[in-house]
Amino acid sequence: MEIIKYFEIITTYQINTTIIAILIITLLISGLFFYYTNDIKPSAIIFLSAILVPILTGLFLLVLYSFFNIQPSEKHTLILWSSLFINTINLSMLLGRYSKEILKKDFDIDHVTKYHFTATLNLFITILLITFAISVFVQIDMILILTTTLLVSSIVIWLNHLIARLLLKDK
Amino acid sequence: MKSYIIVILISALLISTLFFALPKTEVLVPFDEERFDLNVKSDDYWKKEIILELSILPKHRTFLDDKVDKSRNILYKRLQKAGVEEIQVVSYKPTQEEIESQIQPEEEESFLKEYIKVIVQTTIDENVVNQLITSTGEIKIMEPKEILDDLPDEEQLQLYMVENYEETKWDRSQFRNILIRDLMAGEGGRSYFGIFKPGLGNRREFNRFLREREGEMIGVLMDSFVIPMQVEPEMSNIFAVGLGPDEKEAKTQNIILNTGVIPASRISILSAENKETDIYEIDHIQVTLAILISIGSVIFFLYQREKEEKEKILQFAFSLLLIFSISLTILKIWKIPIDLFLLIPTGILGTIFLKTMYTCTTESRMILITSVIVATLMVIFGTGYIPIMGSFMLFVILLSFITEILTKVYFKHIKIINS
Repeated sequence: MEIIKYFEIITTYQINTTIIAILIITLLISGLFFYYTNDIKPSAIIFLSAILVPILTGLFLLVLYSFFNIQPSEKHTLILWSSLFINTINLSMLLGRYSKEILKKDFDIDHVTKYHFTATLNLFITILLITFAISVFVQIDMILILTTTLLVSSIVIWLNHLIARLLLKDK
Repeated sequence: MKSYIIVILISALLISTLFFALPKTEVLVPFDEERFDLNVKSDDYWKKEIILELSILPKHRTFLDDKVDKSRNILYKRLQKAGVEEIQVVSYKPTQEEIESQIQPEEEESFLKEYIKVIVQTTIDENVVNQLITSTGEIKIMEPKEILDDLPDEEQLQLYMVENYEETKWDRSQFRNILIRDLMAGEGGRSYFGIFKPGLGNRREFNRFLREREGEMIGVLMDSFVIPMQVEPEMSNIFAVGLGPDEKEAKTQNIILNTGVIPASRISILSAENKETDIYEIDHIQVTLAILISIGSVIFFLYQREKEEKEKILQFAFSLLLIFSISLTILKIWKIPIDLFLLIPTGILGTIFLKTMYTCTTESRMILITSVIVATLMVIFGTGYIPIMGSFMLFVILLSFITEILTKVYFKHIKIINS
């Protein structure tokens, strides 16, 4: 099956609602952090991160459909939303700490990035442990969803850390 | 004494809900003379592949692809709003054999034919799904032809025939929306009505249209048959069409009338084929073991980290166990229909959420707000299984509030007893 055929399955209504949902998540969360930090950089991190999740999910799904002979299913939207949820938790840890630290007189961005590194590592190991523990008990289709979610969310949370290091270092 | 009572009560809550939550415990205790096992949806699923034939007027020949695309969007939107779990709506080119197998009425030949393949897997009533995909959603207010003026009693069926009416400019595009409301009907009963809300700028003209026809009969065309009605003086304030007392029918009409008009004169089913359902086979024991082992592994990981306070890990474990047992108990007792496989991602996200709430206490408020935002958007904008998972997540977040309070109270009173 050619790649173009996968796009024919998706309706514009699905694409539009997903884009609107991601935009609302981005706007609400970046608005929240802008309110707390009065700084535009966290909003940029949230925006970049929110774009990465659907792109990575789409790419992984294309690989699954093309090389593993898996049929497209509505169940695969679980990957996108679960990754978005994990990504949001990770961003909240980073920017929650950032908004607290920025108020301090001896503000040091290293404190924030070091804390975020530990928190991301912690989150990554947690997802890894849970996914592997659960994978023992479920069938292969479910394992594929769980593993893809693990891959997408792991890449995104580490990219969050990299983007944060790059964007917030000049503060 | 107070501490003892509180500790006993919370312990009793944990033990009893854990007992209810664990698999196979329903065989040990009769509950209201019936089993209180999980109400799993998997047996209610059915799957069908339906080919729809859209009859489009030849004047729309140049925008055919747009019309098909618009129709796909509307069909998807309708099925999604009705809660259909798995939907696929794609353009389709039928084989000559498929076309020939359908008997074509002679007057149909002037229409252009386009085809859409709809694959659904759901627990929703099959009749509702059929109604959703075969209605165009068009409504027209029509004026009766002279033929209907002196209709003999035996010819009353003519009142419902579209060919006995003439079109007016008032079709679905002239109305903002059709509000479905449960209102008082005649003889003290209640019935559902579709209240027509004219678009901005149209209200005055529509009221004039109705006033000019006061006391006369008009017809409302819905789904290829006409509902005749007498124009009453109060109709210029509220123009409502009766839809009957059936709630399910009213809900279906609400979706059909408010998701757009499919740009086709008629939609018919070319073929419908039953398919084997594609459900992830997973049982209650597997789900319980999977969630318990994942909780155990996270606790073990936290315990190995020297930085974490041991008391906090215990609180987290206690809270997680309470959430797990209370939520499964609620699902069992209230017999809420569930897709068992959805409990797995919900369990994973719930564990991650609670773990970060306990380990990142300074950011917990942010984590809570953003998690609620994402879960709410899952319910509103998600398709397929996502709204179900979103509502599970909101439930877990709400439950985590209660269990956090209970856990804190429990550990405080344990400390008091120990001291």
